[in-house]
Amino acid sequence: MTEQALMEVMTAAANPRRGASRLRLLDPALIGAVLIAALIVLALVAPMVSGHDPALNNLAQRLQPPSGQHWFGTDQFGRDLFTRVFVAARIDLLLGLLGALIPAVIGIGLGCAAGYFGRWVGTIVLRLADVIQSFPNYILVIALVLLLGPGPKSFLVGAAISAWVTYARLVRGVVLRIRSNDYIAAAQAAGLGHRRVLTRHVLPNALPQAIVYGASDLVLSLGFLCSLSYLGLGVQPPAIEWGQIIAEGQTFLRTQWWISIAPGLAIIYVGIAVRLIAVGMERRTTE
Amino acid sequence: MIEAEASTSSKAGVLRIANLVVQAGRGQDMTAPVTDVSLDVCRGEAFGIVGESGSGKSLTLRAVIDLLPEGLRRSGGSIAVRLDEGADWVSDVATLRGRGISMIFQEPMTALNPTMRVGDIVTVGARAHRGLSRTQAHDLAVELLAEVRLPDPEAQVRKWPHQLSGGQRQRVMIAMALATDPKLLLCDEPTTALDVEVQDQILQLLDRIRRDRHLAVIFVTHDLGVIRRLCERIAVMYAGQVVEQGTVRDVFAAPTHPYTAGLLASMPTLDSDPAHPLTAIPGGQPDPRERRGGCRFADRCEHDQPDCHTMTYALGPVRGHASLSACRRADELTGALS
Amino acid sequence: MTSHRFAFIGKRIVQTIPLLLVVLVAVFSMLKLVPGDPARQVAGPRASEAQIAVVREQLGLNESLPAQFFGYLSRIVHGDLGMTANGALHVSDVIRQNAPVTALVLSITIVFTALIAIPLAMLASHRPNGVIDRGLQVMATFGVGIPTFWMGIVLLAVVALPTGAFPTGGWGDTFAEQLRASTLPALALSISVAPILFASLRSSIIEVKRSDYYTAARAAGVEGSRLIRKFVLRNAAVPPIALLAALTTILLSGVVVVEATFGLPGLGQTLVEGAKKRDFNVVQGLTLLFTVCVVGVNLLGDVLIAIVDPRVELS
Repeated sequence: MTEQALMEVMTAAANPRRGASRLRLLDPALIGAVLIAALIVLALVAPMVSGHDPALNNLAQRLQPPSGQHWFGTDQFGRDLFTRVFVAARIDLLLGLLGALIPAVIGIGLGCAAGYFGRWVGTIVLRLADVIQSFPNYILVIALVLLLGPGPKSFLVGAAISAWVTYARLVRGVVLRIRSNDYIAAAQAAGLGHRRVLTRHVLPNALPQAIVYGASDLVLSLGFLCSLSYLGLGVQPPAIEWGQIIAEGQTFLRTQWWISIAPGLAIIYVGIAVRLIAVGMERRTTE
Repeated sequence: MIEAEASTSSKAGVLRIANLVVQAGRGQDMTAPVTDVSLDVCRGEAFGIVGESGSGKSLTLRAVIDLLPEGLRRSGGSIAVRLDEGADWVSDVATLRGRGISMIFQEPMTALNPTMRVGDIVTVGARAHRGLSRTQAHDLAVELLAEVRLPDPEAQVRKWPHQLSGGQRQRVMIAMALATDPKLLLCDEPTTALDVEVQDQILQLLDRIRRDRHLAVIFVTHDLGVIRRLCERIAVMYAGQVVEQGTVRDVFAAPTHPYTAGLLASMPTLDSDPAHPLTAIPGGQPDPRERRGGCRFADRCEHDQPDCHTMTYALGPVRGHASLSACRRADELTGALS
Repeated sequence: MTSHRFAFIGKRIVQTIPLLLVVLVAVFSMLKLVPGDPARQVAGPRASEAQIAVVREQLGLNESLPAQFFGYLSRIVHGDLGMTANGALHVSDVIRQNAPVTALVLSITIVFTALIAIPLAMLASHRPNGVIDRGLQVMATFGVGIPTFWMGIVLLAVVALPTGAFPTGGWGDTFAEQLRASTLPALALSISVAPILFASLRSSIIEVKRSDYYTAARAAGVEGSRLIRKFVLRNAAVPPIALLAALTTILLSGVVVVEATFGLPGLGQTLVEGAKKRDFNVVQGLTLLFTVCVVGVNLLGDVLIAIVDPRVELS
């Protein structure tokens, strides 16, 4: 329900008013995709572009403001921030994506099963969902950190355990709705096995909504990852990650604020791009 | 401006609509679901507005009480109401809501606030305007629920809407409308959503209430049976315009517009000849965005001539009839239409 | 309230018990899943085998699993959450000491969230899809996309550091100081949470305004505050209340982060430190506490809905 209300707000926010037909020509999905692609490219080539090694300490150059030599300035070890931020994008984008993809797969699968097979399969899935949703996300992952140690593993396992629930509920709803449609019954009457019916008929209807929610989930997943790393429980040095950079920079907030601010802007950038893609795709599915 | 014969001058007029235009959308997307509608209603009269869905009849009614849905607004013409003889005509109709004008709606299942008890719903308007105390409101609610023939009113007052059937809820809605002691009652398809037997009861109820309280009532409906049963004068609407106006007797016996004739022909009656098939009017109302000049019914009319598609004709008198018609060929066609 | 509704509430309470049990089992299992020998870890690296055996006895690790679980249950019921890793403090005491900090921050956050979301939702629903509404929707989308901790840092950089009106970290001794220390953290957290409440409330208000009973009320001449109170709010409040559980989850997660950003000595920081120091009892105890809170709020939400919406009945 939260997600639906939020989705409504999001899509309305991005859709032009009825009279502004010109804006309609700009496809948000395209813009979003371009933004992400640009980031990926820069992430891959940043060290070459800037000419700096992200891990190289250069204490003579520590805490420099943005300049011609260091486009984003330097951090407390003299490392070039520009390079670090964009190299960090590799991990953040990858883990953020996985943190949404893995739960999506689990959730869609369980949701389909719950809706399709009904009865006690559905009940089990729903009860499980209830229990899991009682655990606040962060608490669950922090507990996992206790068990598995800090790092991406805890994050991904935590996401896999907790984030599938919304996907499942969403997909189950869709499946229940179309289950009453005749063509499902027709397919079953024609003797098509369960797997066939599921992949050919059920899934294509369930996916669009799930994907649209998935975009929103991706943003949440990324935020979650960065928060975790910020707390020191996520990606550990020497790997470079946005939340980590922000944490390191907080001590110098008064005078060298760019260290903490830049990665945050990157996070917001990704958020906007992903939302645009989501809006564009939602528009497509409703046409 | 059409003066509907001698009605407003000899009897007391209650409602006067002149050249009403209702618009939707802005700029290029603008359409006008109601264009140039004029009609008058007198004290204690039962007036019917009949037409298909999309004819603009409901919107006309909503305009009278200034409750047009989102995105729609009144953009032309005037509406004036005079509740008592000798009082002035009031054009700010919004102020008369619950203070002389009341309205009942089509869908009883959704028209009652689910989080309020029946008794409170009935008297909410009355309490707002007349400052009744709780006991006074309670007594009024019981009284009204009895008037609308709801059994055991004392018990009903404390019930929640979801505990009542559709017919019961409609009675509650009528009670709510009566609570503010209206002189003009607007009814938007009051029985369409009800079962057939219940429809009959509600119609009887409305008729009786009108007579007892000497109310002016406007019934908007697509059901000619309702019209014939309850109304004295009617206006027939098509594609946003009034195409015929007159007494029920005149219009039913001798329609002066091809559309009315078509409507009547498609209505089954007890004395319909089973051998004679019901005729439906082929086609549908024109899309408001695609209106060109000329008569809007011309494309579906079997009596159309080339001029009909280019020249419009406002409501006007027809030779030998008391009704008004918007058909330019009305004079010639009178025989052919009955 | 009718007896129907009492029965419904009772039923819901009863339904919550199995959920709580499962939660307890899950939290209990946490400890069991830890790699390594808990007795050895509690006894310390320099303990002898005999000492470890004693600790193992103390921890009840020699008994069967169900027995251990019941032991755990009975300890919980008596409020005993075990000792901290260094053996110095009762976990329940630590919690009791740090809870007020978290409670204050959460309370102020809730106030801020309501102050932001409710008026803006009413404003936005006044003219749906109008200029103001669109603007607010864009802002809401934005607000959700900003990570809470970063928002906190921005607030530090932009408000606390330049003006000095708010502390940049730490708690205070007097209540006034504590309020001031809570302001920016609460603000950062509510900026993340308010858009969700806003979206839900706006959506349900618009739906109410489109309803037949709202139009019928206006037709009867009901207007102003009476219209809003009896027709809009009473009906529009239900979906947001249903959101309560989700919001609580987000709030509890967020408060952990926000306490870290501002260095507040609350339960969030206790939890994070506990995880870093591998203090099992602390993490386990706090997990239990937070989860029980969510379940409790969920139940409360259902009870509230039963009170507000007369259609809720024993099905």
